[in-house]
Amino acid sequence: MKHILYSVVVLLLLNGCTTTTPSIQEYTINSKSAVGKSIQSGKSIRLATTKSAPSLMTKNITYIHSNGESGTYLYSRWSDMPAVMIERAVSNTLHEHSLFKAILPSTSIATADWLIESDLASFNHSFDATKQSYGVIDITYRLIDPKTKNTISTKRFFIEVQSESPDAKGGVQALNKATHVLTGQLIFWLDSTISEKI
Amino acid sequence: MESKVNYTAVGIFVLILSIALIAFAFWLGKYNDEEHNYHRYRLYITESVSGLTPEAAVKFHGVDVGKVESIQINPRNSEEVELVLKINKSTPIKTDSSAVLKFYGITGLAFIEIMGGSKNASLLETDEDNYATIPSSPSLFQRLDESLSNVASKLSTTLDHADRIFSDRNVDNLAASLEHLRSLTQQVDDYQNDIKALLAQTSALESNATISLESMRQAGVSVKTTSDNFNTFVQTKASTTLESLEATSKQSHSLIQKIEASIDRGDYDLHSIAAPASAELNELISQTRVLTYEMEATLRNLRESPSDLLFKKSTPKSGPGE
Repeated sequence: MKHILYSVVVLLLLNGCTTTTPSIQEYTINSKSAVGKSIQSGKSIRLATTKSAPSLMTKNITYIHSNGESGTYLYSRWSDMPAVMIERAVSNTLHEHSLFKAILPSTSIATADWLIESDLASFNHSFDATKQSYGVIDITYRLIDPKTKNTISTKRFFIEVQSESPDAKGGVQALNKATHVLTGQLIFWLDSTISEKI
Repeated sequence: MESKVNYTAVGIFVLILSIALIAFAFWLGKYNDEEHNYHRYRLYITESVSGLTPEAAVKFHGVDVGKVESIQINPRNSEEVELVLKINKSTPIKTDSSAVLKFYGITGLAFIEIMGGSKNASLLETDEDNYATIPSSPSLFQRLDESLSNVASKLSTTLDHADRIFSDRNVDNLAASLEHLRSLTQQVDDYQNDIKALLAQTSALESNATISLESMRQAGVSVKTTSDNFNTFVQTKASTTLESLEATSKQSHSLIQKIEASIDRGDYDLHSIAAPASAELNELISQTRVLTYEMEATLRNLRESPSDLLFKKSTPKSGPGE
């Protein structure tokens, strides 16, 4: 009896100390492919796992002010890490454009003709001094010949898309558009590089 | 008393004698000789023709065939004596014939001898306007003179060399060498006993060497016998061993081929075996890294506000629009 009483008192105490918080909104990147079809190169390509800065290795949606102050949205987050979402978007885009006969993930045991590596430096909702906000993606891609270990080409993509609203939703929409622009530019770069190579 | 001289007989005698004298004179002068029976040739001699006169005989292999018609110094070359020879037409003077000046014994009288002329050579053509020239050969006296001159010159050179060889210094050296040789032979004579002993030892050495060679020959025979026995052993006993070695080698070869085929298939390719595991491992590592960052952030928050674990004391910072 005493034990039951003590347990009820503890439960009531804990219940009284709790607070309610709003639910967390999860967002993701919709990987809409860029318009256009490329000539198939007849080669296969492996997408290496995108390496990102430690601050981007979370599901938090990061915002940065012009004075350098940064933080994460409290009630909004990504469904996956930004590197994973970008990798998925790039893979879907490459499949849509049929530029390669096979797109292999990093864990595949098949050998590929080319390898593409990427380094994600920024993926955030940026605010400037005029309170305008942008979705910013800063990523560098390297096209490598795995047989000779030579770098065929490298390119840095810095994309800014203005957001419609200065909040998490606006940031997510801007970053979605920025990802769409990134995939388009990436396809164009790969197409031109492969055409020179062949 | 009147002489009883028959003047007619005297006159006839005188006439006959005169005619005979004139005939004799013609015969002696050889006026009956007809010029068209002779050919003329020129001959140039570079030696003295002393003893040779016009009308001297010209012989062809010892047979009189003509005479020397004229002798004069060659007007074009004062070193030569030009002779014109009158030779019977029938004489076969060939182009390779040559003339030489010869002498009758010790009288000093000279004649011209034509020699040579092979059977197959052509005749030396001549005519009255342009006499052909017979080549001349040096006479015996000229050859002797030249030979003697050479001999004398060489003898003089030899004598000069001999004079240098037999100079006083060389003679002294030769005398000293002879003296040394004499002392050497004397020493050799003193050593003859030792030489005899050495020869005896050499003889003994030779006999020992002969015995040793015989021993070596016998050893060689025994080695050959042993080698033959070994060959027999190899051919009989070792053949079975070789056959088994050959069978083992074939089995090893087939085994090696199987191993090579397995390797080519990739059965032992460590890279393909380890690739899936390494990929999974890489994935695990990256997820562990993410977990580590999350834990680090959580621990940092707890460190900053430990009571948030139970009572959520700190006010979380909301983002723009929140």
